[in-house]
Amino acid sequence: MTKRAHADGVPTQSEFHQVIAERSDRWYATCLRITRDPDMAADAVQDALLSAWNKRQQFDRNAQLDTWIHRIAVNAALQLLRRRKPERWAPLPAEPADESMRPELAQTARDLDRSLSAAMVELSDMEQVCFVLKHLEQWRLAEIAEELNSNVGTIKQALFRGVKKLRVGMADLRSAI
Amino acid sequence: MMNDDTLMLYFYEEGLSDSERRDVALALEHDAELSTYYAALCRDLEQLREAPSTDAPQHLKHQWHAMIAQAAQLERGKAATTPPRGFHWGWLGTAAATVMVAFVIGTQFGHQPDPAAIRGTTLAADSTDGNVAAGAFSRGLQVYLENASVDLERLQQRSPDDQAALIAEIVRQNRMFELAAESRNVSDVARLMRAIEPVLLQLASDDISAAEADALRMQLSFELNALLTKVAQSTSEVTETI
Repeated sequence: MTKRAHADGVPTQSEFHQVIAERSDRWYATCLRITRDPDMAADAVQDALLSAWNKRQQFDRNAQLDTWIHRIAVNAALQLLRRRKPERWAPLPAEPADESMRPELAQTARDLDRSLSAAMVELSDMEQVCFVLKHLEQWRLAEIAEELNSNVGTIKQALFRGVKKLRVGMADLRSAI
Repeated sequence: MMNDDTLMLYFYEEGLSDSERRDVALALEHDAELSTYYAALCRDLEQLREAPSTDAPQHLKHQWHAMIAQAAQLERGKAATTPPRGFHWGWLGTAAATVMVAFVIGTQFGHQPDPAAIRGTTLAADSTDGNVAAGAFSRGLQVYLENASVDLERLQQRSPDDQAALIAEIVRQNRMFELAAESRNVSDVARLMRAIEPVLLQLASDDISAAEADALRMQLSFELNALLTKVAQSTSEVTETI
């Protein structure tokens, strides 16, 4: 087999396989948290991998391949969410719609871990995405606003509301224990 | 008292002006009640970082590996289905073993016994069937592992196309046995087989150096031997049971 060293700094096929083996659980989990839909999460990771492979010449060798693909996967998940469920991606309503009984979300919550996931079902898509991007992915507020075509004030409000709902869920859990 | 939103932004270290941050810091320093309240908020926020995580299903990982392998192959302009010219006859044995494994899997998933019959005389027969299936699985896996070890040792003697096709075949067999191991609840074997696949795929890449390929072959040889030992142990246990 012709072995070509990766002296040019472009990620190799071998490195892609290695990073899939080691990190794809994390990409998938993040995409699942964003989309709350296993099929969309799977598609997001697949789109991200293909996109990363096709654009690997643009990869900055000083960065981590895992982190680069992770970021592409997050963007892919957001794109899919907006494209496939535009009705759930409306600007923040004054009073958030009651989504707690949506069957597909309830099913996903059962698939995910219990306690906190149960509280997450109470979040609107906007609140969920803002929470995941800020709290778990640690994006800057301005970055989130830009990615979601929104403004920092709106993102803050969605984040505050999301965190408050989750804290209520946590308090309920503690009192139940 | 300061509101939660301000305290949350203070926690996130953004969204507040310098003077607002100073005000919060000062308030926390002088207001014991607020300080206690903020500590509880921080605990909650830290706990929320431990959000539950769901692993990607194994079939998706296979799909992603295959997609990259295919994309790489397309770039190289190789025919995706080139058969290995120097095909090792041992693989016919493995193919037969795979058919047996497919049968075992089919038996596992397709077997829906009559509940009334379970209570009666079929119990002994079911138990014998189970031992036969376990034996078939172990023997099939053993043949696969032995052939894979031999072929990987001689991999470099093959042409690049043959190497790629042979590894693709080993990956296919590996997945089959992984599925069979899962269905038989032999999770430690399934886990070891899952660990082998990415190494095989890396070895199939044409963009690794000779030193990397040597290291991967050594790793594979170690993993395959570990599996063979495990399978040999379980085979002797099954034989004793029969």
